[in-house]
Amino acid sequence: MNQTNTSFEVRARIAREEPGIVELALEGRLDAEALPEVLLRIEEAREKGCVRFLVALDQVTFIGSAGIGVFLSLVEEMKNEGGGVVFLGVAPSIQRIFEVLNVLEFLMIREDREEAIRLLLSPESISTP
Amino acid sequence: MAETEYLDFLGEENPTALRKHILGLETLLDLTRSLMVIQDRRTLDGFLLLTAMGLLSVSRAILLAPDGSEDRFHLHVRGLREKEIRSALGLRPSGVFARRMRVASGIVEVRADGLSKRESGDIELLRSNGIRYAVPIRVKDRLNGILLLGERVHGEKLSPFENRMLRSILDIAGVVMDNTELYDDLRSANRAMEAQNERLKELDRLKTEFLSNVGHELRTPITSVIGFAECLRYPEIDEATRMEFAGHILEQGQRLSNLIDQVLDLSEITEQTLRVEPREADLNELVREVADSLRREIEAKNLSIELDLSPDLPPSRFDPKRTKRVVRNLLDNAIKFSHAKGRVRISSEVMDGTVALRVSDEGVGIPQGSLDSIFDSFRQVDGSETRVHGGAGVGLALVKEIMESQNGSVSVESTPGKGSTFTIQLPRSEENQIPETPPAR
Repeated sequence: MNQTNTSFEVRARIAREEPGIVELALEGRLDAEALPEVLLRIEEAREKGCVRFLVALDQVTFIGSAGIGVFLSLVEEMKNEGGGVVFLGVAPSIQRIFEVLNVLEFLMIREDREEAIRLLLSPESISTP
Repeated sequence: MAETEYLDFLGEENPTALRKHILGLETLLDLTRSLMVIQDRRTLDGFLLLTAMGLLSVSRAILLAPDGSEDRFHLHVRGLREKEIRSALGLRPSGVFARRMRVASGIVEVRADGLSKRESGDIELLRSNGIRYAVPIRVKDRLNGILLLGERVHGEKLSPFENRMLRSILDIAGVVMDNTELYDDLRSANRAMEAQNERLKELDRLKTEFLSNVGHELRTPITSVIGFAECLRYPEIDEATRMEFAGHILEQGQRLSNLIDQVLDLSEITEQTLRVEPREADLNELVREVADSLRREIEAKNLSIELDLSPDLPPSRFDPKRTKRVVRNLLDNAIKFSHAKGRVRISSEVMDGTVALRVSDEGVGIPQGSLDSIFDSFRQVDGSETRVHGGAGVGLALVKEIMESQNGSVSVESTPGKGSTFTIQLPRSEENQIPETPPAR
């Protein structure tokens, strides 16, 4: 894809590393082109032993099916590892995509960072969203 | 379509079914665009798996991709304990499960019935990990992969539209998989061509070296021929000297003729037109003839030559003219690389049911690292040796080519500083199979 508008580029970065939590801040258009970088960041954090992810989506403008696939499998994998994933600050347009795909109940979404972190650090609440 | 426009369509005023359609179509568009830029199969498979998972809201899935020509699948695993699945899952493209998927139409439930014990175990492993469905990825009759899916996170059934979307995506993916494989093939073909190109460059370099060597080889006898012929024009020269000079001219002329024969033989090798006409013949007789023709060279270096030819040697099949060239080249080398007053030994015997001839010298020998390439065209162990000892670097290539074209072989053993032994082996004449004779003493 020759996407010339740079505002659509995704930026996947480790925003903050709370003890035991990695915050992944995504930005822009999360389509096939942006996917390898997102997967790489997740892979790097997992290699360091991270099993708790806080994924900030407030700056994301679009998520394609493959991006949804990344989130769904990450949630499942972290459950297997005894950790979890909480999504933070989901923009309304992204919320609608989650709605249409009927995954809102499966993905744990919170508006408040402190609450999200509290949730991530209590494994019982992770396994039963 | 700009994303804002399309996201508007996802607005709440539109019915859920319509919103799903739009999202599905956008997925298809995103996928088609992406597939155009993905150029390797592994990346494509990983991307396809995640796309299908997102489209169907599935959190556990595996993609089984046939691994080249080998009977195994490359696994892409998502939402599962990857290491556990990788180490335990033994499904193979040749198995019954894969054969069923080759003819399955669309999405089917993963079931163990009718499978072998091994494959039933694999299916049980999948089911215990939450995998419920399998979808083939096919182009015509070829299975390009199998998508294994868990339950949908919301538990809904697949709608006809979602089913169609999945089929469309997998159809496109199947074709793109073919293309990426072609692209992979193209890349490896390209690498092979680059390697070939390097070999050609090396051959070209060796040919240039060969021409320079031939130049040297021609110059020495020609200088002798011209020099002695000029002397012959002086009337003062007595008859004995005249005869001696004529002998030198003859000898050098033969050397030139031999070299030209080698060049011609070499051109037959490179053009692949070397033809041999094997017939039953006596190897001992041929060896004596060749040794006799080289007497002058042997005497010039004060070498002692020892012929140890088995009198009981059975007849063998070879092309006498070509084989004479083989023996001559080996003996030439032995003389060339011997120190003055050294010893050259030629022996014949029956070895491993073949008629064998060994040519040994006590000369400079060949370094271990050069033994493999010594039979390559134009190859000389060391350019400086070539200069000192003469030779165009084609003799041994010819020996190997001739021996192999008449069902024979040539091998070499050597110790640097101590000397070399070349052994040629020829098939025995079939109608004269006689008991093996003991090696000649």
